[in-house]
Parts: sequence; structure tokens; C-alpha cells
Amino acid sequence: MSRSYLRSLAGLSLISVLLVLTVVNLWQRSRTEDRLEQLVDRIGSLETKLGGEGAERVDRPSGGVWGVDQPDYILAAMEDRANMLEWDADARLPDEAGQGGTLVLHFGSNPGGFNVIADKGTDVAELGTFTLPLLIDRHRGDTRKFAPWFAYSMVSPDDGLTYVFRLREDLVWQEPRVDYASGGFDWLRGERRVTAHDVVFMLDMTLDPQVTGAAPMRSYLEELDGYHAIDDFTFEIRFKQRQFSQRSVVLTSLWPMPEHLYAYDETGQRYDPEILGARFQDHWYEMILGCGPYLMTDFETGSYITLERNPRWPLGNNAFDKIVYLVLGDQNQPPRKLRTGELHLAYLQPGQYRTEVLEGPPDSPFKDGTLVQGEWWEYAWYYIGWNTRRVPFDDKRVRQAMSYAFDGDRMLEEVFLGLGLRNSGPLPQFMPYIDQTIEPWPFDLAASAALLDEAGWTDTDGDGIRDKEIDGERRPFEFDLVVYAQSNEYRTLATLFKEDLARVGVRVNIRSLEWGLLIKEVMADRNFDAVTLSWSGGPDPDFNQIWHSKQADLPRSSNFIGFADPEADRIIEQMAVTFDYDERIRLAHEFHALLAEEQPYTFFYTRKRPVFWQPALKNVRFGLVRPYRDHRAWYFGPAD
Amino acid sequence: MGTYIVKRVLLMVPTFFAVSLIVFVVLNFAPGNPAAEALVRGDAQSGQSSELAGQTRESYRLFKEQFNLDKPILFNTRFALDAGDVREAIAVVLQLECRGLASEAECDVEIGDRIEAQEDLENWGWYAVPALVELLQTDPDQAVRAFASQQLVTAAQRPLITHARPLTDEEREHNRTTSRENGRLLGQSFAADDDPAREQEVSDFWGSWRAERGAEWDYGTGDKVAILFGDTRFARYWANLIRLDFGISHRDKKPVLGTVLYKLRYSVTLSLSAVLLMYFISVPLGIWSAVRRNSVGDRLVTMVLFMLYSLPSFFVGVVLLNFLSRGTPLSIFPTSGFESLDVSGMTTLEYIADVAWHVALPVFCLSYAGLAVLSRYARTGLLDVIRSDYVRTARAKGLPEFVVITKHAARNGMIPILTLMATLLPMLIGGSVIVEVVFGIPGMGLFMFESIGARDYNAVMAVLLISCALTLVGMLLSDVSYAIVDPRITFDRARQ
Repeated sequence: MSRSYLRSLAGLSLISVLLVLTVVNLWQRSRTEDRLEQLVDRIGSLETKLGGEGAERVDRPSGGVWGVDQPDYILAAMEDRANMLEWDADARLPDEAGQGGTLVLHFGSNPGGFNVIADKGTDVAELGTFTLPLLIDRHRGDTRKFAPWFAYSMVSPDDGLTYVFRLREDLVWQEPRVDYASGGFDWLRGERRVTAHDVVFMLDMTLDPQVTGAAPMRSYLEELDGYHAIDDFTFEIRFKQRQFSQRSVVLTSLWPMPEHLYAYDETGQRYDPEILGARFQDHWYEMILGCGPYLMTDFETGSYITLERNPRWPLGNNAFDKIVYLVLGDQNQPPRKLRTGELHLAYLQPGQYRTEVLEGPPDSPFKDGTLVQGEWWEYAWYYIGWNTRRVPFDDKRVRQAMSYAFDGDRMLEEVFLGLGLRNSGPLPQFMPYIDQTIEPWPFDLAASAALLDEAGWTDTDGDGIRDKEIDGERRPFEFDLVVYAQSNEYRTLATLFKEDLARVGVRVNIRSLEWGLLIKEVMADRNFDAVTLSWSGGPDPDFNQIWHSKQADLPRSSNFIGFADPEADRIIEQMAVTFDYDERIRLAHEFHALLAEEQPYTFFYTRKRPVFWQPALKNVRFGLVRPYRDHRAWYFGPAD
Repeated sequence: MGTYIVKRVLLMVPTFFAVSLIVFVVLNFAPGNPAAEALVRGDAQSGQSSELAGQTRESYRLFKEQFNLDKPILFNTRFALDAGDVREAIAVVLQLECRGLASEAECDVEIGDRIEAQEDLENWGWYAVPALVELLQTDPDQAVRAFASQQLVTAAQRPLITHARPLTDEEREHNRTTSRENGRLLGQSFAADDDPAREQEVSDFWGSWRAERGAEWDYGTGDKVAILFGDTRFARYWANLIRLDFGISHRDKKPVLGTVLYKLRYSVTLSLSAVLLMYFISVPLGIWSAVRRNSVGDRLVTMVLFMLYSLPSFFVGVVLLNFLSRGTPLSIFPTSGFESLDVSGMTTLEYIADVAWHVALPVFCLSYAGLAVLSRYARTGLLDVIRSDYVRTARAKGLPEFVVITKHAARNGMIPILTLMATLLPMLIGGSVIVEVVFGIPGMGLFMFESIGARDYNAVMAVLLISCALTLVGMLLSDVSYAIVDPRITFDRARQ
């Protein structure tokens, strides 16, 4: 009996082992089949290349390294006085730059899709920059100048209303990564040139209301008068009136989108025009189809995204064979992977900066030279916004009193570890549009108390909290401060601020909200007294979105504090039509002075991120505009 | 037995429905809104304008329509909307009661209320059309009439068929007609400062347009019931669910079911290994403890297990990574991920080894806490039977102690452990959020966590419903397995 029992035990274990093996076998089998299919694909695409006109294709080395020969028509156009584009020497790879290698970077979360128009997020936009070339590129050193990229010539015959772009004729679309072996995708085979029609298609899709993801961009295109392809390689865009934002935003946000892919369903049937936008928004193609210096070749949701060098890109600036973006959801992973060398570059969070650098052991790789340290300034600035539509913050004196009670220097030093600059106005502190003579409000509790007295907030009942009679009712000075729950730094800041305010007789309730809820409460419902948030922008300031009074009453607008000031409106409107750089700076300084007085926000600081990278990575410089991690001039050299 | 299983399976249907109802309601009532989220999130990051005017507003409406967010959650009473309701909302949007006031500051219509009223008007859509036409033609206030005309232009738009499957010829024809019709409506509004002639023109247009479609808003009782229960988010969701269509995620625009099934391979590998590990260690450990109950060894094991049990896994995970992962002095395990970046050149065995190497730490993190629970159950279970007569009989027969324990005692003593199997099934699919985040494994837990943050209702619903279904199946399986393991348990009355 016991033997039969043991036998059944053995049988059971045998069965389970077999089961496991079968599962493994099945899985493995499917993998092999997958690989086989890929092989068939590759053979298929090889066949097209060999059979078609691509036969004389050369694997040209990337430019900058070996020097780039540009066709004569481009060289001639670059000599033209009317051409508003000029070569950017800073953007070139240095002569000694090496070529090859795999650069590994990371994203903090998975991009929400790879349609560069319909899916938003800085990650998709960053991938788009390298795979879908903009028509023009800003100079690295001087953001007022533009360099040729997909377009080699930009002229404006009527000085700012019409712009005509002449486009390179040697760009071709990447071959879509689909299952050619199934035979269903033969309609996608063959080489296609990138033309002005693809730029037209990009604007068509951006303007289509069915493309819900493109909504934010559309508000900039309201002044668009028209656009069309004059011929295959000439693109024209017209505006109704001259506005600075057209040059700073619209012209720098044009790129080609592959119409031959996105306008068709999986069987090669063109979508009806009625639903093209909706189908584009949810298109079946899962990757970015590119034509830029790098091409997207692979991805695994939640794990990685791979770009590979485009051998047919004619402008250089692609020294790496491959760029892998790891998706690392946990903030602790990047520093860990920097240590192991699995990641080439990453920035540290303030807490990590404290443990690794400020308080780290002397042999920490972040300190002993194993990793190179640099700084990365973003166009981002932090503030506490006061709901100017609510008592008591509708009173300028109260807002000023709040700024007096905010010990920004100490917060920056102690909570944010000195990683940044104190801010005094509505732009990153390092920008020329900021008047450096204006100081942030000093920390002065006595002055704060005096201002509150002046505004009528006094402690009449002796409970330590100031109060005031409003509409026949005595109200204590008590308000909610909304902070982003996932940020330790901001919670600490709120607590310190609360303590200081208690000393002038103001009670603060800290409401820490998760991001989605914070957006709803603050931006959608405007149900808040004060909030800590940040803004990021580009190199050309446009105060309209955040500060114009006509935005104050719009649902979900960025002017959620309801700021309205006729003088501010005047400056904003004048700046919108001013193209002269010095005049823009003068107006911006004027605006800065006005806000410094009004204190609708208590301006806090401009962040800098401590970045670390492997010494083998050379020529690491950060973009002045997004994407900051602009690796087009980076390359691998020998580690020193 | 057969009848019992059939009965149980039939009972699962209402249970599943009730669970889906509760989850759906809770999810939809949770603060936050995917539409606002989707539109605002990008803005806050990119600093681009989020002004919802004109076309942008239109996109927002289409987005809501696509995900049924414009519909009420459970009951739709919009067939009863009349001009009074609509005018009330318009009055809030236009701040009518603040008109005579000297300054804007005195106006106590909160911007939040105005936004809500605007949203309501937009969501009422087609149902508000008769009321809007009525207001347009009869309201004494010119501003209200103008607003009604502008609102009509969007409210009267009919949706196009835009699903991913190739359209049939009728559908294409429908789209062409609808699109033409929608386009015809677009210009038919006037602004508050337009001249009366224009207003007359617009008003006439809508009057005749309304007359053409007169019957469409005459709801019979049957229609009303159908709308009350049918034209809601929940009903729409279920209508799709019956076709096993879990909808698409509003983040990556892909069908949720596919993503969930794909993510399953990560989570199942992880949790299956963890469960197996748990059982392989804790059952023998529990038996061992029971046999030597109250000995020093038993107490020591108990203490260690409970210490493990009380350590939070996120802490242990980080500690393990800091001491055992690459780049640390010991440098044994990888820092994150489920497999190496390039696995294409690996053979089966290499691949299994690679995955095992990657999941070793996470599996440990998932399983160590369960050891305490399971081994305690195993210990108690065995203690219950170890003193019973038949065990004594077995011993008296002269069987070796090992056989007595493993065969006679353990078989009955392990029944409670079977119950626990059922509760482990949802864990298989739900994965473990924390462990997946810490170890960078792109499984279900991480997916669900991100989906909740983005208010991706379809994704959250899919994960929860699939794990609900698995729990139900798991419970049934555990009940059935009772009967198989223990012949004394039966579900058929006839055999009693």
C-alpha cells in the first residue's frame, strides 16, 4: 500500500515536471516561429531593396565625423541672403568623434503610444525629434537663430506673413515594420521619398478635431491662413497676421508625417475622409515610422525602446549605431544602473543627490570621478499660486505678506539642496527676459505682519489666528495649500511654510493630492486657495497663456489663479506682435516688474538637475530647448 | 457533483455582474476624469496652451464621446430634459445673475460651477436639442438665444462610425451622410452682437431643421425605459463586454484585453513561481513543525517566519537590490527587468536561466511573507489530525512514522491549505504592484497602477474583472478539489 502511495507521489511529480516542460516548450516554439518570421521579413525586405532602385544604396558614415557632402542645390541656397537659415557650427560632431556603440538612456514611464501627433508626452516628443526631423532646427548656442534640417531654406517674401520652405530631396521613409510574410502588406513595399505633401498631411492631422491628442497645439494654429505644397519639395504656410508665436512655436513645430502609412488601413485601403482623423488618432501602426537621423526599430512595452542609426540620413549627427531607452518606473533604478554601467546618463533626484553626493562616502562613484557630473537647466520654474478670485488672496497686500513669510532661500538650500536659483519672476531665472535687478521678496515676518494688519487682518479674539469681518461674518485667516502628494520635497516645503505662517497668525491646512486629482481640483474645478506647482516653457516667452485676463475665465485654462490686470494684458498683447529682440526684452522686464509687485504667485526657484554620465560619453551638452537630452552631438570616445 | 458545478457556474453570472457593477460605480465616482487628465497632463508638462476653445473644445467632446464619458453612469434621465433645465445651465455659464452688478468681484457664480454647467450642456448633447431650439426661438434674452444657437451646433452633431474594423458599404454611406449633415450645421449660429437678420436666419434654419426631425424626440414609454437603462456608461460597457470587448485604453489606444493578456506572461511567471516556492517550502516546514510542536526548533522556525512576515516587501526588495544586485560588492543578480535586453540569440535553456536569474529576487520578495501564513496553516491542519484515531491505528499497524505522517495524516491535514489556493489565483493575475515597480518588471501590477493614475477606466475594469472571474473559478476549483481529496466531502445530497 505504501509502495502504491509512493508511486503515485512519483507519478504526480513526473506529471508536473512534464507539464512545466511542455509549457516551456510551447513558449519557446512560438519564439522560434517569431524569429523565423522576422527572418522571412528581412529576406523579403532585402529582396525589395535588391530588386528596386535602392540597389545602389551606400551605407554612408554619419556626418560630422567624416565630413558631410551636401548637394549643390543646398550649398547654393545656404549662400542666399534671403534664406533665414544658417548652419549651426555647435551642432556638428567634432572631427575626432568616434562612431558606433549603443547609447543607453531611460524614461521614467512608458510612452503612451508612438503617434507623434496624437499621443502627447515629453517622451514621445523626444523620440519624435530624432526620428521625424523638424523642418528647421534651433541653434544650440543662440536660440534666436535657425539651422537647416529637413528644410534647407526658409524665406518670408512678405516679412512674417508667408513662409516658404524648400525641402531636402534626399530623405526616404523607413520601411514599415509589418509582417510582409503574410502577404497582406505588399502595398507598403518599396521606397518612398519624404515630400512636402507629408508636411501638409502633418498639419491636416494636427488641425483635425477628431485627432483629440493634438488639441493643445491647435490653439497656436488659429491664426493660420493656409498651407500647401507648391511642389513635391516646396512647402508654403501663411498666417492671417504677424505674431511672434508663429515663428517661435509654429514654424519650429513642423515635421513630415508619412501619409502613405497613416492614411491607410491594414489592408491598404485609404480611410474615408470623414473618419481619417479618428483612425489616425487610433492608428494600427504601433511604432514611429521615421526618416530622421535615427529610426525606431523595436520596443517592448514597459521595458525598452530601440532606435537605430538611419544610414540614409544625409546630415550626420548620428554617431551611435543604436540608442536604447530603458523604461524605469522606479526612481531608484537610474542611479543603480549608472553604477553598474547599464545606463550611460541620468540625473539624480534631490534625495538621491543628498545620499550619493552631499552625504555620500568619498568612494561613491558619484564623487570619485567614476562618473562625470554636469548640470542640466530646464526651462522650468516653481511657484506657489494664489487663487486671486478668492478672499483673502484677492488682496495684493495679503499676497505680498505671504511672499514675505516665505523663506525661499532656506527652502532652496535645505529642502531642495541648493539645486537651482531663486526666482523673482514668471520665467526661469537664467533667461535674459528676467530683470536681474529685481530681487525675490525677502523673508521678513515683521513686514508680513504689518501688511496683514494693513489689509485688515488682525487677531481680535486673541486666539492667535488673525481674522477679519467679511460680509458681516468674522472669518479666521485660514487657507488650504495644495501640494503634489508624490513629492517629498513639496510636502516638507509646505510644512515649513505652515510653521512660518503660524508665527504671523495664519493657519494653513496642507492638502496633498495625487496628480490627477490635483489637476482636477486646481485647473478644472478651481477649488483651491493656494497651490504649489511649476511651469515649463521654451526659449521664447509667451505670457498670454498663463497671465492674460481673457484666459482667466476659460475652463481649464492655465490662468487658473484668475489673474487679470489691464496693464499686464497690454504688455502681453504688445509682446505678441513684437519681433525685435531688445524690445521684447524691455517689455518682458516691464512685465516682470509688474508681477513682482502684484505677487499673484510667490515665485520660488528655477530647477537645475544634477546629471551624471559615463566618462566614455563625450561632448555631452544639453539642449536649450526640448529635448534637453539632445544627443545628436554626443559620441563615444575612450574613457579617460 | 455535475449538478453542483452547473449550479455554481450559473451563480457566478450574477456574482460577476454585481462585482462589475460595484467596481464600475466606484471607479466612475472616484474623483478625477480621464478626459481632463488626458488633455491637461500634456499641457502641464509642455507648457502649451490648454485653452479649450473652438476646435479644441470639439476634440474634448469627441474624446468623451469615444469613451462614453458624456453619458450618465447608471441611469439616464435625459429624455426628460426641458427648456427650463437647459436655461438654468446656460444662465450659470453666462453668469446672468451677475449682470446688473457693478464689478465682477461681487459676482458669486464660482468658476467651478460654470465649468460644470458647461460640461453638463455638452454631455446632454442630442437630448438637449429640442430644448435648445425652443430657447433659441422663444427666450426673451438675446444672449441666451445666441448661446443656444452656438450650443446647438455641437449638440446636434451625430457621431460617425469610426471603429477599427473595415467599414461596410452601408456604414461608409452613413458616415458620408452624417458628415455632410454635421458640416451643414457648423455655421448655423450667431454671436450676441450679430444683427437681428442673421439671428432670424439662424433661428429659421433650426426651426425647420427641428420640424424635419420632429418625431425623434417623442419618446414612448418603451424608449424611455431603453434610454434610462440602455444609454448609460454601464450599459454600453456591458454591451461590449458580452462580445468580450474590453474597450481600448485611452493611453496607448490599443485594445485593453490584448495588453492584459500580454502582461500576463510576466505576472504569471512571477507569481506561479512564487506560489510554487511557497508551497514547496511551507508545507514540509509546517508538517515538520507540527511533528515537533513546541520544540526549540519549532519555536525558532515560527519566530523567523514571523519576522519575515512583518518585513514589508518594498523594503526587502530595495535592501536585496542594494546588496545583491550588480554594481554592489556581491554583484550576483541583475538590477531590474524580466529578461536581458537582447535575448534573440539565446537557446531555450539559456533563456530559462536568464529569466530565472532575473526573477529570483522578485520571486523571493513575493513569497517570503506567505511562508509564515501557509506554514502556520499547514501546522494547525496537521495538529488537528495527528491525534486522531486513524493515525494512531496507522502507527499501531507498525507503519514507519514517515509514511504515517505523509500519507495518513498529511492528506487530511492539508485540506485547509487547498482553500488558500483559490485566493492565490487573483494574485496570479493582479501581480504585485510594489515588487513589479521595484524590480522593473512590466507586469499586470505595474499596468494597473499606472492605469489608475491615468484614470484609464477600461484598463482598470479589465484587470479587475479578469481577476474577479479568476477568483470565482478558483473558488469553484477549490471546492471541487475538496471532494476529490477527501471522499467524506460530497456535494450531492443523493449520496448522503
